[in-house]
Amino acid sequence: MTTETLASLIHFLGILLLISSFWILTSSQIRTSIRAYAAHSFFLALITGVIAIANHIEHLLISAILTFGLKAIVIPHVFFRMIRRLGIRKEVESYVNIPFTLLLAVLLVFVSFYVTRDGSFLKPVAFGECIPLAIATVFFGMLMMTTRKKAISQILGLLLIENGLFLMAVTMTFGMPLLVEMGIFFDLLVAVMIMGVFIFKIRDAFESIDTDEMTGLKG
Amino acid sequence: MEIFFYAQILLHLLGGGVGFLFNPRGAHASRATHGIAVLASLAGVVFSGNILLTGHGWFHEWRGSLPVGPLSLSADPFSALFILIISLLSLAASVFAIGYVREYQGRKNIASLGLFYHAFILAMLLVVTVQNAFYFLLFWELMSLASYFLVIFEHEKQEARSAGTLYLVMTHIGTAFIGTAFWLLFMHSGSYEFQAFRESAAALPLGLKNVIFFAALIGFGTKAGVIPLHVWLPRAHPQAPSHVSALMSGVMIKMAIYGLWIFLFSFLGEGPGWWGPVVLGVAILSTFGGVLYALMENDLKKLLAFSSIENIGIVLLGIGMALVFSSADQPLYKGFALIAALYHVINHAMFKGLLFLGAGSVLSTTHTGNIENLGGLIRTMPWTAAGFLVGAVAISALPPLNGFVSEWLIFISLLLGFESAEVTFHFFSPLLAALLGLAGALVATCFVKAFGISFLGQPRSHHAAESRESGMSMLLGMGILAATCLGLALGAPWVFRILGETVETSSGGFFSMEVFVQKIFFLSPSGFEAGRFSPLIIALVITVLLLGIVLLLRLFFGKASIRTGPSWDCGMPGLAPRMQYTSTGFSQPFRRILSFLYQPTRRVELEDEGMKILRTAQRFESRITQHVDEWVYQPLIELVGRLSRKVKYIQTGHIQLYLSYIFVTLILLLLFFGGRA
Repeated sequence: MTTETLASLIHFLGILLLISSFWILTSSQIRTSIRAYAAHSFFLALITGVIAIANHIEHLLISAILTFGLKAIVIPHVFFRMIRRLGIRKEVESYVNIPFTLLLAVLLVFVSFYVTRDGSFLKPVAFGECIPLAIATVFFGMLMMTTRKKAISQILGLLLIENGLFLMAVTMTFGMPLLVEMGIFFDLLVAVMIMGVFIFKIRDAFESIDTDEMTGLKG
Repeated sequence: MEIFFYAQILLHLLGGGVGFLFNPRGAHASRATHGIAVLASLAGVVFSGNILLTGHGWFHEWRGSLPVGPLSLSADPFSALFILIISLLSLAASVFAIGYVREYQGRKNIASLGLFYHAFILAMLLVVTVQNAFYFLLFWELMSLASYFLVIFEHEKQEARSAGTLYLVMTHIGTAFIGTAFWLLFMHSGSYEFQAFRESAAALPLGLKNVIFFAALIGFGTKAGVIPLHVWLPRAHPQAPSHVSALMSGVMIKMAIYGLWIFLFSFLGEGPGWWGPVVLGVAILSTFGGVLYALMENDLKKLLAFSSIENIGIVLLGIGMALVFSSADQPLYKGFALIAALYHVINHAMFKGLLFLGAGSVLSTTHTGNIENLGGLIRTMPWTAAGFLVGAVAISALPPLNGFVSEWLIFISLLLGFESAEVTFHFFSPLLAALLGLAGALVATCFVKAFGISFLGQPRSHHAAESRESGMSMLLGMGILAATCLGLALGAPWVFRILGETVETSSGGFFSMEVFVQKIFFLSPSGFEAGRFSPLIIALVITVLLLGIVLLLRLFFGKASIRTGPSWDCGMPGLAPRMQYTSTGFSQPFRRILSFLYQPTRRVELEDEGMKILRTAQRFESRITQHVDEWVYQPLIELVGRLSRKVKYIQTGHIQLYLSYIFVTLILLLLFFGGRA
């Protein structure tokens, strides 16, 4: 494959990634959000894989496989089990309705393209278009964390931020050394587990996982 | 000889951890940790003593990777003097602690007490040797934090916790000012190293000099506990275990003197003429205020803490006079004043340490520090009483002990103001000397009260009645300090010579010692005969006089026989311990005479159920006004409270809102920095 085809392939995958991010934000059901997150991680793994092949970097390929295995399969699975045990059926509860969320998201994409329009302070090693996408993904994650009421959506937002940072690392530096990467994956897995435990504890204590209930804790 | 210094540091590191190898609440933990502290202190005494005697300093630096310059440690005679003070006092305190800590066994975690104790001493040692501003602040902070944990060691007491919090706040305010002072010096010289500060001192612009002067004065003044920054000191020092109180009052506040000293006499160079009067003003306020509050205090350890404020004031009087002479270009007098101040630093460390250990000894058997509940202890614990008496005589500046020597020297330096080139000082210096004299008399009253009410008379409570003499290690700890006090008095000219060399190296002066000291006599540098005295001869005269009186009495009245009979009770039988002079009663005349200062309030409550004769209850309450607390800190605390309530509006408790603060900040920063392409 020529560099040009590779570039357009990455471009295409990038668009799919962005679309799946929108999908996470706009789905009204938590199950759909999780599926969308799985799709997002899947495209992330693909992008990583393509970059790895294009630049002949073996350890990045392992990262791609790990991303796929962990973020596209294991973590969504953990989430599904969690909502089954919590018995959540209801749609996503948000402070901001879905059309407005969409509007904000579009605005954030603009911002992310605007702030990275000059490559001088970011020096990507491969395929510059991914930088604004990575920043946009981080923004979406934060948007999700700030507008959603349920703790479970906030974890999802955090994972989305992590995906964005991962994409940033891959495009800027071809990822970190494998050992560090493995450590991060492991951390992520443990973090999801622990946050799951916290969610159960929050529910036990407040009989809800609505974080609004926690305002009573302030001094 | 540096091997001894390394040994001291390593032993402190080891001693901090060793307690955890045993049962942390057991006797072994205490013996191990304090035993190692004793060894470490001995190593320090050898190391610093050698430097002081030979005059050969020691310097070493480690080049690290941090961008703040090398970690350089140096022990010139000036630092060595402080190492000696720390080591001597920690030697006595550690010996004392072996017995004293027994009280906590099985109840409190002694291993962690040992950890903070060692960290505290180690931090102080490093503070006086380090030659780099960054590391200085690091060790300064370590010292403050370790002492904070020692203050809250008995954290089950509400009083200890709130004193700890106040201490933590005040010490950080102080550190902020010290940090600012160092930072300004760094901005000017471009380096964190003390050597660079010294070299660029001459080029400091005057305005910057003044700012640094005030920052250092406030910063170190907070640690030293000068009025009006003293509020934490009388609360925090007494809360720590007594051997730690001894170290805090004896040496930790001297670290502030050390810091102020290196700023005033080596980093800032020559200052404007009004620095001296500013320092003198702070000094006389602390001297006077400290003793006035001490006089009214009924808690033994609090009384000692207030008296520390007074003594820091006396030291600052010496330093202030040195600044005056410095700007009047009279290096000889400046040197004399500095030696006097330094002498008082050592003396106060020793006798205040001794007094705190004495108070600890009383506390460990009676479990009350309230003087009103003590009494008659001289019969049950004669050795403790003797130790406390030595400390009380020394602090009251009575011959033949060491307090007299250094206060006398301070007096002379104040009176030398007559010779000052500054004409205004011909008027001010005798005034200051008179005030110092008055303060000295008040201190004597205060300690007559502390000793007399606690140790003499009849026990005022069952606590005092059931007291027993403390164990060997506690008495030995006090004995070390009592001996040092006596040694510092009798060997005064010799100590004075060593201090003279120290002052020469630290303040860059040069003067001939022959002007000050001849054989065993001190001379006044200005040459007036009244300044000539010898502590040794005074001691001899006193001893001879006392012996003479005893002999004469024997001669005239024969061998006295002791008769035991009832006290004269004015014909009203039934004398009770409660009829004795109380501590409050003893200080009553001063409350009267100085009521314009104390502004005392008193309340008497009488309850009678209809019949005036049969009173069912009566209460008497007498308070004095803590001016600084009520006029400065209370309004300040209210202001902070009001501002905090305003800030509270952005604290809703919604996680989402906190997250959006981060989110919005991130986007704004990105737009600001990324958008400026």
